[in-house]
Amino acid sequence: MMAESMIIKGGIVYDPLNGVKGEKTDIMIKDGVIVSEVPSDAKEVDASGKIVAPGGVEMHAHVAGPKVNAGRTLLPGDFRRYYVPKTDSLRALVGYAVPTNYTTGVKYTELGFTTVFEPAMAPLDARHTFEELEDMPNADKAVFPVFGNNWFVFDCVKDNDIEKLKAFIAWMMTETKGYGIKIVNPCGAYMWAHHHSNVTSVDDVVPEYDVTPRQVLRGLAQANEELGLPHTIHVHANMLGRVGNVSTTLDTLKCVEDIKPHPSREQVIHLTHLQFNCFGEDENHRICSGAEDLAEYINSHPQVSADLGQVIVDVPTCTMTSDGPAEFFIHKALGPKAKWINGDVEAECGGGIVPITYRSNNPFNAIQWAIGIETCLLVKDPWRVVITTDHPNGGPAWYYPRVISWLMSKKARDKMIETVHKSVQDKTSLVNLEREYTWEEILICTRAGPAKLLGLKSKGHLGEGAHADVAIYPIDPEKVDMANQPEEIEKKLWADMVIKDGKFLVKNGKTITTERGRTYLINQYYKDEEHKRMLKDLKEHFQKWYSITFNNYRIQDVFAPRPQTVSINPIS
Amino acid sequence: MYQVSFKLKKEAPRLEIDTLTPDCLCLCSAEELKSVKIWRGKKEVPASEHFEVKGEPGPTPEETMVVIENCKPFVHYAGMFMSGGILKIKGSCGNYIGSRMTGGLIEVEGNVGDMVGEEMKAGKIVVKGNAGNYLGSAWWGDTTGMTGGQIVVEGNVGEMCGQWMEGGYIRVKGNAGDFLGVKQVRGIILVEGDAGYCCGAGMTYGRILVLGNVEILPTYEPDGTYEQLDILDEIFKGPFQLYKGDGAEDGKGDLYVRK
Repeated sequence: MMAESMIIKGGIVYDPLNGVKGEKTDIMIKDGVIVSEVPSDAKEVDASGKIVAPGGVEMHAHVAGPKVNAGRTLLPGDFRRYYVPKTDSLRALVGYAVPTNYTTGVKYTELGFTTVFEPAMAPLDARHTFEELEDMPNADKAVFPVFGNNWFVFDCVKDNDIEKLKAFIAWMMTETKGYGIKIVNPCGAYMWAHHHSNVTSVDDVVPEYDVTPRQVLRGLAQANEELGLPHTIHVHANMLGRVGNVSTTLDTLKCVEDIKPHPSREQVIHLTHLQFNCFGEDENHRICSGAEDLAEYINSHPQVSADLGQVIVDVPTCTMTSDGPAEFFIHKALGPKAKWINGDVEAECGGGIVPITYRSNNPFNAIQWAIGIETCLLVKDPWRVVITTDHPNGGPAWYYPRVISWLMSKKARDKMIETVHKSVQDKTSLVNLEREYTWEEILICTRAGPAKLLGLKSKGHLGEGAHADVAIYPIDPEKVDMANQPEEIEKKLWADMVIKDGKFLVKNGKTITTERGRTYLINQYYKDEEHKRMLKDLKEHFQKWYSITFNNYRIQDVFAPRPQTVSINPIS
Repeated sequence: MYQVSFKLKKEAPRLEIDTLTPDCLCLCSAEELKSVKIWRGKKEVPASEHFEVKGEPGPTPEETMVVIENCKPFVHYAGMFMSGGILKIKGSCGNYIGSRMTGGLIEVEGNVGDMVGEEMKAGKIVVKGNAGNYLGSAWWGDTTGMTGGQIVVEGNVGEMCGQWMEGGYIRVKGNAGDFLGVKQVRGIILVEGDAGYCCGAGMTYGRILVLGNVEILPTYEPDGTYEQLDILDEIFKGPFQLYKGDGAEDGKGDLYVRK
């Protein structure tokens, strides 16, 4: 069914990618895309006194895959923290920190987000991940396969054979329907699985392969830029969660300083959930904020982008990552009550899950809370920093309105600083920061910015030809004084109306129907001769190390029923 | 004190009456009282379909007493989330009585099912008969049980009583089943009769008193004797042997057993 044409009248439109900053204009929609003219019988939607913005783009949320499922298994009590019985149009909603896929899709839509990226998929578990994503309604989605501990990558990097690596990346994206390169604790998960240890810097050597995290990062970054994938490498750096890891993070970013970005963009590296990788170390070897160092580096290096991974305190949540050693460290730190699952995916990566509640009266957690906000305030360019909570690692994504209220209002921050542990006042610079985000900056951080960083041409803006994903929030920026009414921001950042591909999904703040989203994927091999040369080695590699055969590795097209193929542009 | 009574007149395989608490009923008019919804299986029905409704609720939960008469074991979730007032249950009752309650008093004349006072925070539950398993414990898979309040059972209790308990007081006048106070973190459990096997397994802090017979786990170490003990201003004559444990969890819990 073709969506009807409509015209959204009288709204205060924010479209940072096209330079529209809170002007009263009309948005016209026809056949699921934004157009400049509609027939005279188009349906009128009254949005006067409301913010009209492009649909949100979530670039880092763990919403599907075996690890999310294992998280649900670990948290049976999570299912009664939030539940809504089924209605005529909706299935039952269940779950809070690690909800069902259906709930995730519906809640994201109600927040005004229409694109959700799953950032860590073990390539071998692609089938399960896509099955779950298929159950997540409304959102357009894509996945990042994990590369940082793949043995074949190690082989290529060791031989410094970038052409083979490029062919392998293109092959992997095609076979597992991936979108971008995720690197999780490069070499660390391998060391955890085979040596029960971890890497402590970017120059630690993996014994069997004789490679270092630095080589892996450089190899993958170079291959990525030459291959022209839509997104840069998406990096979860080494030493996550350890005191003083900001130096390792800076080393990680410096590794790829001299790599030339693809002509279509300025960035070469995306540092994900920076908060967990931004711990400084004071003279007593205790935690302090490393936000100033990191923000200074990001400000002076346009090739770096980052997302927050903001921690929400006093909310039960669950950490899940492909970084096995980090999860073991968290499990040990939390004591006997902490549940823990460790996983290993043959020849590719590992993973771990630990349920956690960050406590406001715990100095470590309080500083973690401060670091996220602090870095976001210190980074000057909103186009290169994205608001996330690393759902559900830092906290459920349903707390974005609260994160935004902290960024927009010093009053809200000060109120929070009073309730959390007092170490925030001496160990971070959050109390001294006066900056308050404007609506435009917030909408860059949640929509235009991530869409641009992810290379999504038809998302994150309301220009002609963009997908008709529109979120309408019941706030009049002229009437609500953001700085003094943080509670208002928090309440009203749940969308009043959401339109996806020209169809109403949410009306009056309630979901009325659900739709199936499309899947962004890459379906293109690298140059023929390089591809054949790589396949010869890869088939041998499969014979040697994998428990499944080469021919069973590819996931069928039926797993992504509404594909949106994105082409790659290799530099010749 | 204002009183509302619900007399069971029609049976059903399963009824869930978490709405029949002083909190939900206070300020209700006579009309509203009749149309209060309860769950029968997976259908929501008015309470008057299954209960004879009488009386008038008070203006606040604290001034309201709710009486469930002729109660049967297929009635579940009585007094869930209750924060004040009195709930009297005449007859036996099903599972989840006083689950996650934050105040008030629940009195049950007969026996009760499983998960009584599950994750309760404050208030008091008195059971004149026997209680089932998981009394004052955590929800399955969760790690925080009862954090405050009191539960008194005059009969026996089933297994896993006080599992993951983090505060409050459980008193059992009869015998307790197996796995008493498993993974207990804080709080006091007093059993006047015997306790089953694996008493206090995985306990880290907190206190368990057993006046009858109990088999001590090998991971507990003897740690002195006491002539008498003072539990909430009540003196219990000894002599008591104190065991510290559970050693398997590096725990520092106290298990007192009458010699």
